[in-house]
Amino acid sequence: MSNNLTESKETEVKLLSVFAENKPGVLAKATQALAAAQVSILWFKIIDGAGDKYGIIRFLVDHTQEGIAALKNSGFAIATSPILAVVADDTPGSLSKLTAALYEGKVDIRNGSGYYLNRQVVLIIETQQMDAARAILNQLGYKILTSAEIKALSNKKCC
Amino acid sequence: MFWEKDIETASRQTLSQLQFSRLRETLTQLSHKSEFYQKKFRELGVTVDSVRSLDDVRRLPFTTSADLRAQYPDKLNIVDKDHLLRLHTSSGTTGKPKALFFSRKDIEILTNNFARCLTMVGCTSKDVFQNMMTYGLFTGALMSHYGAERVGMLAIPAGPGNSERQLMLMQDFGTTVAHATPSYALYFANFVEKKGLDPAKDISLRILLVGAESYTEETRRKIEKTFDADVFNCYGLSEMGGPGVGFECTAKNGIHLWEDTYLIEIIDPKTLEVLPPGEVGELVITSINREAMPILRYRTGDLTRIIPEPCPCGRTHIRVDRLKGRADDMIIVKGANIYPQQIERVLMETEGVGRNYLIQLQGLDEMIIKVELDANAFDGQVSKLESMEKSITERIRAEVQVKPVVELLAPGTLPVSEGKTKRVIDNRSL
Repeated sequence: MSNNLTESKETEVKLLSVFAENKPGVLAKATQALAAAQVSILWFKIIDGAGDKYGIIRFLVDHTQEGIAALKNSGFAIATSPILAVVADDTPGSLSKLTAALYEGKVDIRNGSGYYLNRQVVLIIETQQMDAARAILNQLGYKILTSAEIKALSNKKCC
Repeated sequence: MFWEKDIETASRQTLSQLQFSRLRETLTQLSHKSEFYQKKFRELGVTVDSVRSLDDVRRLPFTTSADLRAQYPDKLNIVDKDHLLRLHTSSGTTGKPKALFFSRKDIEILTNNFARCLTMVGCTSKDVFQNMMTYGLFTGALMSHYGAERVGMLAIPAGPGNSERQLMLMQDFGTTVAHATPSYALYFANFVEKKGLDPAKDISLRILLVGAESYTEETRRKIEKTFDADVFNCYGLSEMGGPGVGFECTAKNGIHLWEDTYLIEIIDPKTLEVLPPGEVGELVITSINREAMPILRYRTGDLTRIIPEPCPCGRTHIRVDRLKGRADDMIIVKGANIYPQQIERVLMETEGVGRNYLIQLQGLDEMIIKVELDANAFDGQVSKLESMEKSITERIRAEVQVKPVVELLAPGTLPVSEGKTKRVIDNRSL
């Protein structure tokens, strides 16, 4: 595999996963910690654990390192996981085309999600076969965002 | 290293002779001066002269925690007030505490015994001793403080809690030895890590004396690994003069109890019969070198066994195994007898489990186990948490025959008390 397919650690986009007991105020506490550190949340999702006793809150933020530090200092157990942030067309069949290509390349998507960022659709793809997924998407001409690009996009004033 | 090599390595015959003469002296004093024991001796038909060997100790009356409370405030003291030097009390969670008196000679003996303990684990006058136990009516801090000064260590009377200040003292004064409860040691490690420091590298602790609560071998290993230091198990109880009744030596295999000061028995807590060496039962201690307040056959409530084999360290004083828990720690859930230590062992063996836990009993005999996660082992995958929860549940069920409800909590969310940490909360509506 050629080197240019592998993204360096610095530019890789990461999600922050926060362990959260299922009790009132946890989400507020986590988001307050991020806000106090001037970290902007681009996307978040709550994943429930078994029995609704705890869950994991996943955040995509503009300043990853600052976000990690802010959450750690507030006492949260956190982990990071690399993802692919892929720019997609906002047209019917767009997602289907992308997932079909990954399926054919035998890439297993563990988690997927999407959101709008400055009038673009950004798909968040989590897989254990990062390099294979990157290669397939590059070949099809998809734009895969770096952490710097995400930061830049999110800092643009919209509308 | 030895503090008093001659007595620490004395032959069994020498120790037995010393014990017998001290026991006889104790009985003589009690039969003259203690109304409480005079009455007990009369009831059992015991006289000093009828005690002809150490084996006859089993004819002597037991003393219980309830006896000590009933004789509050000073009915067990047998010396004049002007001979008394110190009063301590033993934690009375309910009702009156136990009042414990010490003469100058008593304090001297206890200080010397603690110096023995410290030297046994490798402490010297070059060490800096940070004492994180509670100073005050509790014996734990003052008695160990005296022992540390006797050895010539620089003693820092930090007291418990206030982790910010503990860390500052450690860093600024180069603390090498700390004395703490296991729960506080673990809590403090968390605190240090939260500061972005590594407890193994950024503080210079080399020895931790850990006692006042019973804990498992797995917890010891966890503390040792976290601080990159040796952890030694200390045994003591205020009724017998506080900490330093016994300590582990560097073999870390059993606690040496000082037999020139105490007579040790292991009894069956139900039949009250003395058990043969090696069998698990309740530890019973008689003070044989105590002036103000000698106590005969004190039922400690602690379960352990005598390790009959000689210790490689060369000390001849009896060794008892890591305490299996206090007889009164036992909880009964759904008819099963459970020691919290059984649960602790499973938890501390589990990868991903943090340093604090709580057993909560509620409703109609439901057992909920709250477990803090290890922040460093968390990888963001729900599936991993689910399998960890399942594995803990299954293994505890296998260990104690009751299926618990396991709740995973964020690190640092459970309370840590400054003295003894409460591991079991019973809210059952039975």
